Parts: sequence; structure tokens; C-alpha cells
Amino acid sequence: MKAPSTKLKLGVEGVRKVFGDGPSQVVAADDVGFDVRDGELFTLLGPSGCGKTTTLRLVAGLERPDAGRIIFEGADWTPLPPFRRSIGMVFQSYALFPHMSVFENVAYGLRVRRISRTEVGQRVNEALELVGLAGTRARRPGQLSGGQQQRVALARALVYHPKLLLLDEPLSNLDAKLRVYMRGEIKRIQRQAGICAVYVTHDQEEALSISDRIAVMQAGRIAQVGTPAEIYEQPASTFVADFVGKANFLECTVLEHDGETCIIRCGGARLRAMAATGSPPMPAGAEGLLFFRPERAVISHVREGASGLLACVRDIEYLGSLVRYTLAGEGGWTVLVDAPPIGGIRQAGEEVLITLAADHAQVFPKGSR
Amino acid sequence: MATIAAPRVRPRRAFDLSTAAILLLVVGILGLLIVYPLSRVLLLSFIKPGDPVSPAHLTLANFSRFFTSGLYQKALVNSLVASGTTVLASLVLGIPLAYILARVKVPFREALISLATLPLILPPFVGAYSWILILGRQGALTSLIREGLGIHLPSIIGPFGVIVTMSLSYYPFVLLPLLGALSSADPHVEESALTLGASPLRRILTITLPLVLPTIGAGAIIVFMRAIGNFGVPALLGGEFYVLPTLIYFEVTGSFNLHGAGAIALVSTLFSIGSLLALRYITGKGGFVTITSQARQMTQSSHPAARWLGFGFCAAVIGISLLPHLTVLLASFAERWAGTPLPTAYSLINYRKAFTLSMDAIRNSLVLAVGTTVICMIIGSLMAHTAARKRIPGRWLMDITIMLPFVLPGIMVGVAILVAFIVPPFELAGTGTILMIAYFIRRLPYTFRSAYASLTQTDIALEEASLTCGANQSTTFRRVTLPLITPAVAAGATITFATLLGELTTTLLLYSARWKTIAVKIFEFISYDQTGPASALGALLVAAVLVTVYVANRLSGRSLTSALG
Repeated sequence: MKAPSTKLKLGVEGVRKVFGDGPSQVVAADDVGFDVRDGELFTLLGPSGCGKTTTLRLVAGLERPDAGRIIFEGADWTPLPPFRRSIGMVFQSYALFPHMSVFENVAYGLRVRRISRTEVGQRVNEALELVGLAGTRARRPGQLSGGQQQRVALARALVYHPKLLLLDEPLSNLDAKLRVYMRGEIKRIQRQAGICAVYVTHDQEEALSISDRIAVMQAGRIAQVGTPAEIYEQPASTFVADFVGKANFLECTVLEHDGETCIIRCGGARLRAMAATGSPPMPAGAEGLLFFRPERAVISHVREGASGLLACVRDIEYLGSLVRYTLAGEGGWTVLVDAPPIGGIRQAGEEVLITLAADHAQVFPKGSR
Repeated sequence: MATIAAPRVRPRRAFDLSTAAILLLVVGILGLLIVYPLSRVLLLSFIKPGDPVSPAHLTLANFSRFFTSGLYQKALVNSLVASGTTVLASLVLGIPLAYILARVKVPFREALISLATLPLILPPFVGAYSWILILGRQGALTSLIREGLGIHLPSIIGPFGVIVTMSLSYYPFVLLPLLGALSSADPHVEESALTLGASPLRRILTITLPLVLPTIGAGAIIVFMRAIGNFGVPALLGGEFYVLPTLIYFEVTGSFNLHGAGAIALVSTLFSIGSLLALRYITGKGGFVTITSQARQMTQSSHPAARWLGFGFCAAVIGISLLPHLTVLLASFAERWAGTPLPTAYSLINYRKAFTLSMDAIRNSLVLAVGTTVICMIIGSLMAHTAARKRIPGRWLMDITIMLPFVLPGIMVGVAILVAFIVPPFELAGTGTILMIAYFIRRLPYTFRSAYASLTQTDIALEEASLTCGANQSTTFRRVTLPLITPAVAAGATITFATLLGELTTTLLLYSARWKTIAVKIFEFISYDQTGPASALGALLVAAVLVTVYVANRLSGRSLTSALG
């Protein structure tokens, strides 16, 4: 068992990949750069078409970059074909060889490395035990369930002890319950193998739960790199804020700005909020966008003198563990606020006060994305 | 002081080298064996025999005979009439068969469908001459019908025989794709017509048929292309009824006028290409896509009357289409059979004669067919892999070049190979090599297309998974790609081998005394009225084809004839 260290393993440096030519040209990856540390599970997260899979395939050597370099443990991997890189890859479709048994699938990477027969048998069994599939060695991939195929793919990618594990949307073909279970399994197996991994997904919840760090991608570029908490709590742009989790945005005017926090006027109230990380300083009078998460706001009865946003309950969605209120304010804005159903559920039409702690609210310059 | 150049980042294209090598091989083979011969025959057809081959001597003289010679004009009209009528007859046979097999629970359905594919694999000219045994002047049925019913049938020699034989050989081209389309159609579409109050007949005419019309059209065009290029059947049954392929044959073997032959071949090819363009137009429009919500089988009628009537019809048509091949079998054991419904004496004498006279031919056929099949398998899968997996410019050009000899009339390919390779520096006239070249380029599409289809249906991630597991390109091809496409390649190879054993059209133009094949030998026996040994060889040929296909079917556990379409 190995916890992530700070030692650098994989370096992706200014990588660019363009598909097609002429008017149909698509820039799939544009100046993409990030580092992955030893033992770390690093996730590329983004909507479909954002270039995350392309980036992973560039790391694997299945595509060649038009510019930039892939460095691993100080060696330049850029010119190497996939089979000269020490990688293990799990594909979205699992890509198990249909003409081989489970055992032969897992043994494949050992066989091409000319490992002796006895060692192959031993290591395949170890790998199958690691993924909890010891009893299926003689079966064909077609006779396995989706979750089992997933484990075989994982065993096949790990059995020859690669230095880097690549996972391309490995859970997207599983049903919701299994997906949650398997992501825990993947994390456990990755930790146990002590291997650093790059994980691609479009599912933000999955990314938050499984990753040591996340790179959010947007239109071929990296929008933000950070720990799950950083990505969720301090998104670097409105895109990241919107893509990861639920987000409320309200137009506001900056009154004061002291570098870290600012005073804004929003929906008729005067509020304190954090200035978004990495955004340029906003002069007084500048237009901004106030951002907060639905569960970070608190709603209460309207009280005289309390500072907050006045709103009216428009819609109530009962979700069991919490209640999601759609609140509308004067001027036509609406926000979502999640509250635990403790002490009764508010009624539609009820007037409420929304209060925000300053460190749970952020201001983005208007027009930034 | 020497300056040290900064190391340039230059990706080592280690695994692109093999791509380049294969590409070079592909371009070389296609250029030398397909593009060069076809261009040469094209060029020669515009130059008068005896004139030097140069741009200054380009002329339309070889084509003028289509306006001056009655023989040429007749051959052209005959070709069009015979092919057109064959198309109509194939539709009349194929459409009802397909409908019944798709919509009625016919007893022995699978067996009937298997039998219906046989005419596509069995050599048509064997069937053709056995019609002489059945319906010729001395034929088994002729005498029966004449004496029993007093009806004088039209002579089998001439247009009647040509059309009957071709129709019974080619109707599966209509039947099989249509059967597929009708079986996979969404039943909800027809059910909604019923709920809208349409009568069953109205439903067939307004819903069912229009939906499959593109499939029927495509089948009809394939029949037309095959019919207009067929040489064996009109050569054996045509008599005075000349068509373009037989005319080409006489130009080549009679007066060795390759320029004239080229011109006729070109005209015949224009019709083929015209129908091919029509085919692309029809299939390109894609017909209609019905969105199927769930895989539900089309309900089949299981009314006993429908089942047995349907069976009767199917068995009759399929039986008649296979009757000639059965007759050959019977005739091969017949010592005396003339003017009677059944032979009057049986023996193995035909086989003894056939064997003593044609051991060389049997050996030649096997050598040529096996050799060509092996080469087709290797080159076909390599080319398919290049076409399916590499991003190469001008891939469509490669596809077209490979398919060209497939759609061109066999006799055109024969003439092209002849004019290209009998001259220096090749001088291959009469060799086994020239036969193998012709066989290779005509049959390459079978393995190429089945391998290509199988590759496009195989998840490319499988090969990528192998690469990421540490296997290089050639190991990946050997351990992953090849095993996955082997069933398809084997299917293509089986069809290649089975149809090469009895190849007649190009062989007749290219063979020499040293390289006679079974088909040539049968053709000779028939020409000398030696029906006994001809039947024995024909029966052997039919048996060999059937055994090949049966064994391969059993080995691969699926229908190989899917590689035919």
C-alpha cells in the first residue's frame, strides 16, 4: 500500500493534437500540460469532446502529438510506440480478446514479454485474486458480466507491473450501483498496486470520489488542475463551477475589492464574498458574477436587519436526504438552494432570506468562462 | 569550434515503416496486375491491329464494326436481350421465393436456403451442358414430353437455353439479399398498416415491397452484370446465338485480333459500369431506414396449407435449379443414355476415361486454385488491414481498384491480362503464372471484402489493448487481428477455391496445352461430343465444390456463402 508522494512521474508538456485538415479540422488537445506524481490517481474530467480521451491516448502512444512532449521518469516517451512504454490500459469497451479465455487475456502481456510458463501461471492467478475473479480463469469474456469483464481488463493491465495505468471511462458501461462500487474497487486496487494512474471520465461525481487530483478540460484545453476539494470549492472559472456539481450564478456589482475578498451589491443586498482564485483584480464598479453551491446557502425566515438575499419559494423538489428549493428574487433571478428537511419544509410562495458565508461565495469577473 | 546541432525532436516512425512497406506492396500489385493490363487493353482498343502503339495512331476503327457488322450488332442486341430477360426471370423466381421463405414457416427452411445458395458456387457451364442432357434433342425430358404430351419444346440450343440456364444460376442474387431484408424488417411497420385498415394484398403492395425495392433493384443489377459477362453458358448453349463474350472469344481464338477483342470488351464493360453506377445510386440512397425499437422477429405464417404450398413452390424452383447438377451426376455413371428418361446401362467407364485423359488437368486445377487461394488470403488480408486501419490518402482509389476486376466481365479481364503479359518483358503466354495472375485479380475481392468487413466490425480497441500490453505491431496482427478475422478470411478463401476449381471464362483465353484445367477439359469433351467423360469430370467438380463448402461450413460453424454478396 502506497500513498501518493510528491515525486514526479509523468509530465505532459504543451501537447497539441489536431485531427483532420482544412475546414473539418478539429483541435482535440491544445497546449495541454500537467504532472502526475508517484502513486497518484490523476483524473482528466470534462464533457464529451473536450479532448480528455485524446490526451489519454497521447500518453498511451496510441496517437502522436503534433507538438509537445510526454516525459516519464525523466525519459522522453514522445517518439515511443505504445508497446515500448511501460503502460497498462483499460478501455471503455474493455477490449477483452474474445478469442481467448480469461486466463489467456490476463496472461497476454506476460507472454509477449516472454515470461516463463510457471511464472505466468502464478502472476495471472495473483492478478485475478487482486481483482477478486479467481474462479473464472477458464471462461470466455463473453460469458462474464460487465463488472467481471471490467475486472479482467484491470487485471490484464496490471499483471505485468506497468509503471503507469491508464483508464479510459472504465465505468461508463456499468449500471449506476455497480459504478459506485467499482470505483471504490479501482481506487483500492490502484493503491494496493502502488501505481500512478491517469483516469478519464465525464462523470464529475466519480472524479471527485476517486481522484487524488483532477484536471478539468474544456474544448481541448485544461481549465483547472487541483484536488477534488479545490475543484469543487474554488473553481477557477464559471465553466468549472458549472460542470462540477450544481452552481448558482447571480449578476452583481463589485463595490470594494481588497485582493482576496470583495464587497458586492447583489439582488438589492450588500454581501461579502471571495474573489475567484486566479481571476484578475476587479475595480470598484465592475460587473461580476456571484457563484455559490446550493448546499452552501442557508435559508431562514425574513428578519429585520439581517443581511442576505430576499427571495420567494417557487418550487420544491423533495429528494429524500434533502429538499431542493427553487427560489426567485426580485429582478427575475432564480437560484437553487438545498436544505435538509429538518424542522419542516417550506411552502411555495413563502418569503425567505438566503444567507451566504463569505468563504462559500465567490465572485467571477463578468463574461469570463 | 564545431557547433553542436540541437537534437531535433523527430518521432521515430518505427512502426510506420511496415505501413509504408505494405502500402508499396499494395500499390505495386494493384498497379502492375490491375491498372496496367486494363489501361493497356483500353489503349489497344483504340489502335488498329498492326499499327504501332502510339498516340498518333489513335482511332475508333475497332469500334466502327458495331455500326457496319451485322454480327457485332446482333451480338450486342443478343447480349442485352438475354441479360434483360435473365433479370426478369430472376425476379420472377427470386421475389416469391424470398417472400415465402421470410414470411411462412416453411418446413426444412434452413436446408432450402442452403440449397438455394448452391447455384452461386457451382460452375454454371456444368449446369449449362447438362441441360442438353435433359432438354436437348436426345434429352431425357424432351423425349418424355414429346412422347407423353406431344409437345415439341423449343430447342435448348439458342436464346431459350441461355436464358433458362442463366436465370436458374443467378436468381439467388435476388433471393438471398431480399430474404435478409424481409426477415430483418421491423414488423411494427406492417402491423401499423394493418391497424390503419389495409388489406393484406394492399399492405404487400404499398408497404412491404416499396421498403425492399432498393434491395430488389440491387439484386437485379448484379444479375444483369453477371449475365452480360457470362461466357460459358452462351458458349455451350448459344449455338448461332452470339453474345458479346462469345464474340470476344472468337476474335481472340479465331483471328487473334486483340485490338478488336479489346473494343468489344470495352463496350461490354461500359454496360457493366453503367449498371454498377446504377447500383451505387440505388444503394447509395440507402433505401429506407426503419428504426427498430427492439429486436422482434417478423411473425411467420404457420398455417399448414401455407407451409406446405410454400414448401412445394420453393422445393420445385430450387430443385429445378439444381436438377442439371444432379443430372450430371447421373450421367457420369451412365454407360448408355440417349432418348430415354433414365440411362439404360450404368458403369464407371466414364470415370476411367476421364481419369486417364485428364489427370494432368485435375492436377493443374488443384495447383492453380490452391496457389491462388493462398496468395489471395495473404494479400487480401494485408490489403484489408491497410484499408481498414491506416489513415492513408486515396484509400477509395484502392477500394475501387481491387473491386474493378470483380465487376468487369471475366472475359474483359482475360483479354486485358492477355494483352499485358504475353508481350516483353513478361512473355507469360501459356504459363501457369498468367493464369494465376488472372485468377488472383478476379478473386482477390472475396478475401479482401470478407476480411475488410470483419475488420470494420472488430473493435479497434482490441488491437490497441494489445499494443498497450506491450505487443508490437506484428505480434498484435498475429495474435489478435488474424485470429479474429480468420473465420471471415477462411470463408472468402473457400469461395475463392471453390469457384476457381471450375473457372472457365478467363482460363479459355489464357491456357495452353501444358496448363489445361478441369474446366477446359470438360469444355473439350463437350466439343467432341464426349458427354460421358464430360459428365464424370463435371460430377467430380461439383462434388469437390460441395465438399469444400460443406467442410469449411462445418469447421467455421457459420454460413460461408455470406462472403459471396
